[in-house]
Amino acid sequence: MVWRLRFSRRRFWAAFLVLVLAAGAGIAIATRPGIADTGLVTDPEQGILLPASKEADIQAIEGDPSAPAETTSSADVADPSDTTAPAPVTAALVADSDSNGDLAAPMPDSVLTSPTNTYRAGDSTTLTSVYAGADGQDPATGILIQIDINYSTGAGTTVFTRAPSGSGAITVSSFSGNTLYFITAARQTGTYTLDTHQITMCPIIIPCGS
Amino acid sequence: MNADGVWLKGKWFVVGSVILALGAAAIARGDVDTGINATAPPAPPPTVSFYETTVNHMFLNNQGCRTAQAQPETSVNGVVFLDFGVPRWDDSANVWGQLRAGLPNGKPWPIGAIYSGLQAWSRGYHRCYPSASSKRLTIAWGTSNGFLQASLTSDKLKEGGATFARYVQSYYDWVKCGSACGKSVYTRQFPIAGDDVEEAYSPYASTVAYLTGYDTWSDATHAAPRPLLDYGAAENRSCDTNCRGDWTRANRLQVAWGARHAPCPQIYYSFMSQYQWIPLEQWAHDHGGLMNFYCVMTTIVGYSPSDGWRKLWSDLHAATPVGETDWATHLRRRLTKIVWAIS
Repeated sequence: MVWRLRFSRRRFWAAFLVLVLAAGAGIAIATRPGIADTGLVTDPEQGILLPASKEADIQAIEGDPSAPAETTSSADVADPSDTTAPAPVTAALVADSDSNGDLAAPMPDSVLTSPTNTYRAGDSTTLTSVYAGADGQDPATGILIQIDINYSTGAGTTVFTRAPSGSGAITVSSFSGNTLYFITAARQTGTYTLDTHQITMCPIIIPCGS
Repeated sequence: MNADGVWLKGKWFVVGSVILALGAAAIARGDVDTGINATAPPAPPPTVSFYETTVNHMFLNNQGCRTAQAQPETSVNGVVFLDFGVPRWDDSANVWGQLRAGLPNGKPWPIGAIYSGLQAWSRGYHRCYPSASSKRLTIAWGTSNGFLQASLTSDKLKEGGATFARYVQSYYDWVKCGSACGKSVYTRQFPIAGDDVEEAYSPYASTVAYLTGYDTWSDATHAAPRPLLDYGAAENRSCDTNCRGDWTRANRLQVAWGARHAPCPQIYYSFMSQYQWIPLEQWAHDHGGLMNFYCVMTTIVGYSPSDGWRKLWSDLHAATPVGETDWATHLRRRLTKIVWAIS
């Protein structure tokens, strides 16, 4: 008897809980603006229907358009970490590889293919990197890609300089001052000037470079 | 199509070269539609996104400053992707990080170093935010599925994704933190995650393991991770019977539009719109509903930003079945051009 009474109470409370949850869900759906019966909502910018969950995510990506403008306060004045000058980089030729041991350059294959090596030099203000290899759009043409970044301004430039067609991938062989000496896959030699971004090919009978 | 991993030697070089050669040959033959519908509306002004080449605070601070100065004033927010490379587990340092191969010395940047670099970036954006401006910026901390380490187990990759989610959330929380963090609240910055996902980069199994770790992350105060924009390519094209690796269209759609994800497709060339994202949108249409394209990404090769956005608009418009609302209405007015170290 006691057991049956407890069982009945359990069933009563279980049924009550289900009813409360169902009513709560119904109220939530009915009171949420813009939600259609299908669970779609109208996106305010595009005027199209999107699933309510995706619309919420889109709005999270958007951020709050009503937030006040950014204004600098006294709390923002000091931040020593932002002014840490980088250590100078001694001029050198490097052939970095990634953690798989493959030779690497920070370029997609469509821009730089068959990367060979890199010239790198910098001081506390600027860093110059010249990536050597072949043109991703024409692997039979050698290319040098010079990236200069300026730490003090956040500015940078990328300059692409190509060797004559048919040269094949370029490898930088040495450097002196602002001049890089290189050799191509077709065994031609040449020079590249960092300031002017000019390639000059050397006569086959008088190769250049040390 | 992107900086992460494609430079690698071996079979991926061959795969990349074949894809590029086929694309170039198709364009040269004239059998690829390069047209843009004359009725396409003007494209929105683009922002500039970056394949980052350093985590130096001074550089990133100044890059953030220049972004604040250069960002167009529009009635909608801008979006930038700050791509620090592929996820990497660094066994020697026992930390997760991201690898921009070739810089520096093939070692990944520890994720904590990237996090503090992004703080410097946000301080710079705040420092140079123009007075009387009302623009706002969504900042996507970018990574990719470029050659996820084959040696890692699925559980380890999930750990990597969860670690990324935790750091992206921390970045957002820090941006929204005021005097308690010794700074103003950065009211007009909204950090999220970005992932350059491409089928050619890594198998679906490892890609989804990493993203599952991201998507299922939570902690005591956050029920879900920040949203994620997929700024990749959809190379499988018409692959119902000939898919790349273990990728299917359902897989690609799930990554682009599942969980808290939304796509910001790379539209560098005509075929990337016409034969990659449009077929995927058609597949989405037939299997549960259209995607919403949050933005379009272009780069230094191929389409100009304006033409890239208008090309996707044109192809969505043309793909709309008779009697349906124009699919082009599913493309938002957001546009970015990603470059290397140029601001």
